Amino acid sequence: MKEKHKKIKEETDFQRMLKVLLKNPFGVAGMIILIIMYIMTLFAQFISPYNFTDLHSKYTYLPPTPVHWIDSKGHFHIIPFIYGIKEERNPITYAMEYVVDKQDIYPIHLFVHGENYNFLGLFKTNVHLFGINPNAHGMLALFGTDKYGRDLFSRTIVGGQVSMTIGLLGIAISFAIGIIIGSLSGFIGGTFDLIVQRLIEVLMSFPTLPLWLALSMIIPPSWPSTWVYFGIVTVLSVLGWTGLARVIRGMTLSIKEKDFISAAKLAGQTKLKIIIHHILPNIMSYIIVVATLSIPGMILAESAMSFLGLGIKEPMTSWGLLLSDAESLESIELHPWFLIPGIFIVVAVLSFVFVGDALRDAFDPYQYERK
Amino acid sequence: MQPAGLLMLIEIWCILMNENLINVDNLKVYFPIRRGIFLQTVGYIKAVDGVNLKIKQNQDFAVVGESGSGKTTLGKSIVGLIKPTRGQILYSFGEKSFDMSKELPIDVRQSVQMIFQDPFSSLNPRLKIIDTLKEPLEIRGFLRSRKEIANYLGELLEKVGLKREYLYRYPHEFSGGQRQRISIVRAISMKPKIVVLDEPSSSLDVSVQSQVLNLLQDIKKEYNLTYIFITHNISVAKYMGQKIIVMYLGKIIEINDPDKLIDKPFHPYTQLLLSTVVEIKSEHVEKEIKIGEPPSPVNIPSGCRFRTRCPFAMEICAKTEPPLSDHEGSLVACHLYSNKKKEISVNNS
Amino acid sequence: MILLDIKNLKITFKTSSESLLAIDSISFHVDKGETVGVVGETGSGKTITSLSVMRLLPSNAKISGEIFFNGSDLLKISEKEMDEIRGKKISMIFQEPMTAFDPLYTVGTQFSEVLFKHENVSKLEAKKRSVEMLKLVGIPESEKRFYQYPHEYSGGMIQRAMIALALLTNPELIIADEPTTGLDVTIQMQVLNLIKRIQKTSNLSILFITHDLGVISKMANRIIVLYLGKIFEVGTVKDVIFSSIHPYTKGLISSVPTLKTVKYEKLYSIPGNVPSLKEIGEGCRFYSRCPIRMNICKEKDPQLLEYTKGHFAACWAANADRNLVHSYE
Repeated sequence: MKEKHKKIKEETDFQRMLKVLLKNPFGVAGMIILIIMYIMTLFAQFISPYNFTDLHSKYTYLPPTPVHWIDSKGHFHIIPFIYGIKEERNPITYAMEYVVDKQDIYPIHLFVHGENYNFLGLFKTNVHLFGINPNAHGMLALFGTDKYGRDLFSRTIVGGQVSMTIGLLGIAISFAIGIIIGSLSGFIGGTFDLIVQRLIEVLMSFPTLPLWLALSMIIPPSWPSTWVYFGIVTVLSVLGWTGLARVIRGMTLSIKEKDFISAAKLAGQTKLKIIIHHILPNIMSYIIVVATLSIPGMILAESAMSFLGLGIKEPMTSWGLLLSDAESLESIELHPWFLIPGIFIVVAVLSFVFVGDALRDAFDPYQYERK
Repeated sequence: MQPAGLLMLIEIWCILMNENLINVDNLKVYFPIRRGIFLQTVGYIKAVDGVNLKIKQNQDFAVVGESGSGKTTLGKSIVGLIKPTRGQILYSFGEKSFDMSKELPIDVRQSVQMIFQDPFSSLNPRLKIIDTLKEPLEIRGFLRSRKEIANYLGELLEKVGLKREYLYRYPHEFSGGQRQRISIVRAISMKPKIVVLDEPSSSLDVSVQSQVLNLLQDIKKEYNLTYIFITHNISVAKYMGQKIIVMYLGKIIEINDPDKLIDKPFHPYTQLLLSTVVEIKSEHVEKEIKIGEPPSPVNIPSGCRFRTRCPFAMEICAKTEPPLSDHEGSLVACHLYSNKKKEISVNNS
Repeated sequence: MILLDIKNLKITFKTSSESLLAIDSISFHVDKGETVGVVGETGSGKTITSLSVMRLLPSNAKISGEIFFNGSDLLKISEKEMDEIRGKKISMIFQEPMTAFDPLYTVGTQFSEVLFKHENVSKLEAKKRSVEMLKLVGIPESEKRFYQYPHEYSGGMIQRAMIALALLTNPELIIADEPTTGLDVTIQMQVLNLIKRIQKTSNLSILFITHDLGVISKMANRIIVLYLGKIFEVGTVKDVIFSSIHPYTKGLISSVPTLKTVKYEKLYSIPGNVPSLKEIGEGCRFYSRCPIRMNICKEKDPQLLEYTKGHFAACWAANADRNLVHSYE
């Protein structure tokens, strides 16, 4: 008997949602991309062939290194390889230039020993997922290098740690605030609601950029980078909860009018339990959708702040900070690979939007109200 | 048994039967109309505007009226969902009496229940039926184990013509009629004394409506409930109530036994309501009745509030509001009858 | 003279997993100047039928059969030709008047819009005719009301304005889909009287859809009883209501409480719920709820047969004791 009930429940609630969710190709693609991105950020230092802070003064402004399978003699290599690099003076301009040395072949190996790092903060190791011989005359810089010769691929992946988590963390905090204030404001109503609404309006009417400026000024420059990170999260969520609180208040107001809320009141249920048992579960699906759709805003906000030099500071890095290297037209013209972190921002934001849209479709109450 | 003893028994029974349950004392419910950023009050919707009512055990009232007559607001105030603006609703529970708008002890709170009109909004769509139904029992705490609760609720479900295993389903799997039965189970599971029913059958299919009305009558007898049945359909009101209350713009304008009220309505508004009932007939007499529309409950006319639509409106109607007074066994609020009464009393003296 | 003639109408709804036969070969006609009432409960297909006449069904619906309007098959003509009929020759009155009006425009603008679309009229003439029509449906100060927004109308007034809108282009057929459901009895009476009065003066045909038997007995000349996409009974009001044949019709009529209902007596009720379309088997679709079911009912679907002139019913039990052969339409 019990087995059967379980089955019914799953079919009605979760499976149906999953079914709708999986039917949306954009949503599925977005979800897969996000999962890959989060796995990459989790194992960022393991995946990146170099430490993101290590300077390679020999290889500054190196363009992305091409990966080959077939060498200059036409031989096919099973293991992909890169060519070594020689520095030569251009005979005409006398400028130093990187020249590919087709004689030097460095195969890309898995699990190579390279620079030391802390694996997930658990233990020290020097094993990287892939790389070339550390003594090679060349560099495996898939996205090129910056002016200090730091590997942009490694920096992008490690930068993702900040950019991808700041959105989640920011949303988590602003949601906690938004749910509490929004649902109370909607459910209690009256003067409390009035004050909260006016407060939100005041907060919302501040122009965001100067406010960020001001708030990030509060973060002392002497703080260690992790503190700065949490400081930025706090700044983002202090400004971010207002919109969410409004949405949640609106939903609470509409659910509050339902008869089952009245019935719960007549049964003697307390206000807090009515909010927790009846109101929140009914708006949770919307909340998740709104949350998913607000993460991109947070990611973009962090990028913008870091781009302007108000957010994450060196030696920590984030996509926005990386993009700030590409701030001049000249720089973009000479080193177009500096824009690659921007592509990551776009892809991440789009993925979140697609997943949010797919979730909204899946949670749509009309899908299972009265067939 | 001795005849005297029997008489006494009957007497006690009568007293028990007619125990005063609820006293509605000069109830006024005004909803403020707010405008502007700081939501200043610019006026009031006078949903209920001075209602006095004594609800006795086992005396079912059916409340009829147009939309905007305040019948639903009255019902919600009686169960304590809406706080009165003025006046109070006192509920006698055992020896004590309680103000319905205040915080109540749980057994008092649960003994006044309501069944709602829209079966699609009366059950939480996210909860299984058992989770919806067990909530009041857990709050009250009179059944301990999960098994006990499931047993009790299962029995009740069977009583209203549903299956025990429905406990483990979600509301969207049920039709409107079935949901209404589940709402009935939720109400009676708390062993209430009074149930306010707000058009419980009006959104149901014709063939299901009569099932629900019959069920409500059966349940009433079995659980010794007192109903306050709110409806816009006088025929249903007649079937469900022992007295019919006619409301107009927040006031009671006539109370009488259903048969008498339908046979001989006194108030012109009751007459109007009855003349607009569309019955199943082969020949419908075509007569143009002046029906008019109710004025807005924000600007209630002076004196008698029905005078703007009343075919018999007199001078006095604009000046003073007629009180609800006895006329041939009916309680009517109309100057037509209070005048006559005066004439009679003048003649007598 | 026949205005609307529906023959063997079948409507199937396709979803990803199944196809549901919502209307199962129904045929009926509406004469000029006649009101045909369609009675049915949830899932009977009464609204779907009316939408199919307007060709407004959702895209996952498959229609077969014929719908003749003034001799031409509405299912065969082009979308452009249909556009000219819809809203001009055939118009609709809905249950929810606010769906008929756009809250952003004045009532007058929306009235004129309809006239501009279907007739070549000047702005001034459009206004004149709109105001006249508003006057006709009993809206006071119609000149002033012309310039007001829908929300400035009261409930009863907006209902009447919607009827005025439906009448504006002098249609030949009006489809009224539960036009008074949810209204107060007083307003309902006004609206019903108004529809009747206008019909008398303009020789209008009405397809009146409702679940309220009282309303239909007042409004209709003939009644069609629909149940799960099938016609159970057809006939004049007198026939269907006062000498009903089908147990479903009988059940419906006796389950409505009336002013004469005796208290303390049980109301008659049809047992069970309206089944879903998926649960229909081979036989009569009323089988599961029928008080007089027989073995044959489970196996074969009964045909609509004529009992007295113009009075048809589809029931094996009624069929058993009579010898009748005329089949319907």
